[in-house]
Amino acid sequence: MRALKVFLKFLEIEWGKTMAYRINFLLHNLSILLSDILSPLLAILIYHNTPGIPGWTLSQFLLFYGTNIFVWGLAGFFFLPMSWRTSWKVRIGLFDQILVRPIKPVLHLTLTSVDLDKIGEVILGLLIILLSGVKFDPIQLSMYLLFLGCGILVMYSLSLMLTSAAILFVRVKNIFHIIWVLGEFTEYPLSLYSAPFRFFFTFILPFGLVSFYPAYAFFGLLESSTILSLLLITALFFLLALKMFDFAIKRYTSAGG
Amino acid sequence: MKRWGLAKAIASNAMAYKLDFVLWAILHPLQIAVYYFLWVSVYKYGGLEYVAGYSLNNMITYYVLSIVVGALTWVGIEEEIEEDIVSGNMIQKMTKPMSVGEYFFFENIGYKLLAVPLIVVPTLLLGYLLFGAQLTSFPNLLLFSLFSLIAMVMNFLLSLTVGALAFWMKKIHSLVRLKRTAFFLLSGGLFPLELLPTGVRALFDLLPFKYLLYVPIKAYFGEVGVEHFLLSLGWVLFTYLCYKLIWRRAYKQFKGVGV
Amino acid sequence: MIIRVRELRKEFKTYKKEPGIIGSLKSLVRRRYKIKVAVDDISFDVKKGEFLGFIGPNGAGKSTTIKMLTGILTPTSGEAKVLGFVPWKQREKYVKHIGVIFGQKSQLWWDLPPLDTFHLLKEIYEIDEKEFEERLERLVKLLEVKDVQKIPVRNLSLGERMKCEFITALLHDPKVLFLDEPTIGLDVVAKENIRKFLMLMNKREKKTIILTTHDMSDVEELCKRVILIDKGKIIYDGPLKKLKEKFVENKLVEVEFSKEYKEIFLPEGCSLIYSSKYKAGIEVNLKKASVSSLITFLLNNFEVKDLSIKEPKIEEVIRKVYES
Repeated sequence: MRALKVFLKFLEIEWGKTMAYRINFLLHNLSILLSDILSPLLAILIYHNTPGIPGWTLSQFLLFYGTNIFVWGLAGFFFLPMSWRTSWKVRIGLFDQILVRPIKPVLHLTLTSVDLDKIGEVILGLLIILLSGVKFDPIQLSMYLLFLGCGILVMYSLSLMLTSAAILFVRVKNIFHIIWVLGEFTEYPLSLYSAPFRFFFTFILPFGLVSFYPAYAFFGLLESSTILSLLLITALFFLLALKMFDFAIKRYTSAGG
Repeated sequence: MKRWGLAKAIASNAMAYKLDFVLWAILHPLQIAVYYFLWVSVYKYGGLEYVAGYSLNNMITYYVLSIVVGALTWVGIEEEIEEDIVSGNMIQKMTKPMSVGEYFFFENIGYKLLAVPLIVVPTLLLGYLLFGAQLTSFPNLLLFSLFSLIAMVMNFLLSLTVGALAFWMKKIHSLVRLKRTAFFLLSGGLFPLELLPTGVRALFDLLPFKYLLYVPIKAYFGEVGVEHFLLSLGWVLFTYLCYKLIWRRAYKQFKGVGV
Repeated sequence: MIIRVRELRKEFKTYKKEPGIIGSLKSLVRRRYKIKVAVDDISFDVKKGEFLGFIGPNGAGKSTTIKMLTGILTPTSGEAKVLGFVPWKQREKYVKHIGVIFGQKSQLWWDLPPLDTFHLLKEIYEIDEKEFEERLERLVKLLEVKDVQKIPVRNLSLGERMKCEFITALLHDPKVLFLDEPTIGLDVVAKENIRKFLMLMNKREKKTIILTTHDMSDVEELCKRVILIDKGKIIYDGPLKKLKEKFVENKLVEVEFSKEYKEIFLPEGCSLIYSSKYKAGIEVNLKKASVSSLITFLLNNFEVKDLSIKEPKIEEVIRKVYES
């Protein structure tokens, strides 16, 4: 398939580029890994000094947190960079080159956003999940994977939305900053927050799907009505993202960039 | 004085980015929310009055102050140094009557003048009103200001020292990020150091980084002594020497190589 | 007709904002705007294999027209068909058959060597492996970029970059080329090379080429037919020869002598515009004399160190067109 070929070719090129700066690559991964260790560190200390976080054993929390790192890492690896790279392209005037290619802009941008610096995070997330020590059965696993998929789709939708913002407004550092701070709320389970926050991160900006709901689904604590509504939210969020992107492209081609 | 003119210029220039700063004012206090919810549920769940010597309100106050002191001590110097070297501005700065260090110092004060109204005040306000942070006595407030000042100077010198590595390494983003995360952890930004097991705690105590955040916060609670003051000054002196040493090396290296 | 344009129109809204805080607040409530007509109901046709020059001053509407014909800008009204496609409606399918160069905006990936971009494009355009290798080799040879293609784009000179841009535009063997100010900022030698290359593409490979420029010498060398655009309207559409015959009356020849001449005598039809110690500017009235005859005259009668022929500016030609 052409999409796969384009992606692999770009990956190959990026790999060559990254390997030319090996030390930086290593340092970058190290710094990301260190900041990712912080929250589990605090969690471990909390369990060391107190009965712990309500509703979660330490290994359950680690599974939750590992999932968080894994999904953010995956998103950062495959498609989050699309947003700031597009912002840069639009600012310099390189965005037209996207429109002049025989490939849908959304596909073009998605396939050429890989950021190899995030590979460490993906691996770390996977490790934490595997080492969390939680036992599982096939049903739990399949629920978990289902919502993991939803979480990844939510992150992709978010990337598309940020990219649309970049195409429309060009200077979007502020929006990135807001998203980053809101992202910090994913480091701890949604169940800890008050109702308004839970609502916001479930229905408005479904960050809950990134790690909380997959982990919750894993422990079999979700009702079927909740499951259905979460799937629906994921689908709607994705459709919204696609519409926003379409709108951004239409605006750009009408206003001339 | 020309130097203060620079500080004022930076502050007024930055006001051009008004929207950015309104955002800062909102986003910084928002970061407290995560830790607020976390600790409230931990205390409630365990039916605890104290954790590692902190009551719930103490703990919340700790995190509010963590953000406040963090904002006061923040410097973005390393990136500037890297940029200046690449763009050639560094040469200009090196040949001015002000030393490079002085230049960055006064420029940084300009930013700090903004930080106080835009970050410190909203954070403290929301901390008291919304999250239940505690007020303290006036003498303790003075101690807090004193140790915060020391923290600012220390962090500034440390950042200048690390920033000098740009002369050799060219790209230092990742290193700087690593450094900031490490400092954040070691200075007690993530949690009060009392939470650490005794062996690890001893290690953290030996290092100078607790003076960047932990000790100023302790001062707010009135839990500092003369020894803290003297030791912190000792560390400031030490970092000053490091800064001087590495920059002397940098001047030599840079002037030798040229642009 | 490979290109058909009918009543093509593009209007832009420009928003006015008053300065200061009150202005910002006002603009939140109601935005005042003006409508600028960039392209004003233009119509023209292009045959297969033509080399058409779009000339006009800055802001005349050339780039806007090209953007619409390449599909990256949607018109306010009007129609256009290129190779049977409506560019802005069928963009992804259409774009496979055209090559585009925007003089100021690069098509190459900024921090990669051009060769990497070429390989990426091979996948995006789904070019057959063998075809790709052959065509790439041929283009690289023609444009002499064999060593250059492996250097990251940001380290290339403008001329080197431009040559690689041409490869990106031709890798997929398009039938039509749209070139928007491709020689801007290039030195004389680079321009010559590009022109030679374009001639080849047009004559040998029968590619239809639309070139916009405000450099008359580009047009002189390459285009038989020109469309003159000003303020969004077509002022002239026809052979370049006729345009020049009608409207270009004078050319300026600048001479630098190796000796000082007190008096400079000139043949008929040539008048001295200015002179300094070693230099002189001579205007040739094309109705009465020719530039080549003047040059021969100068070389025979004076010690000439250097000579240059100044083209009349497009703006002057347009002014003359208006005056007619």
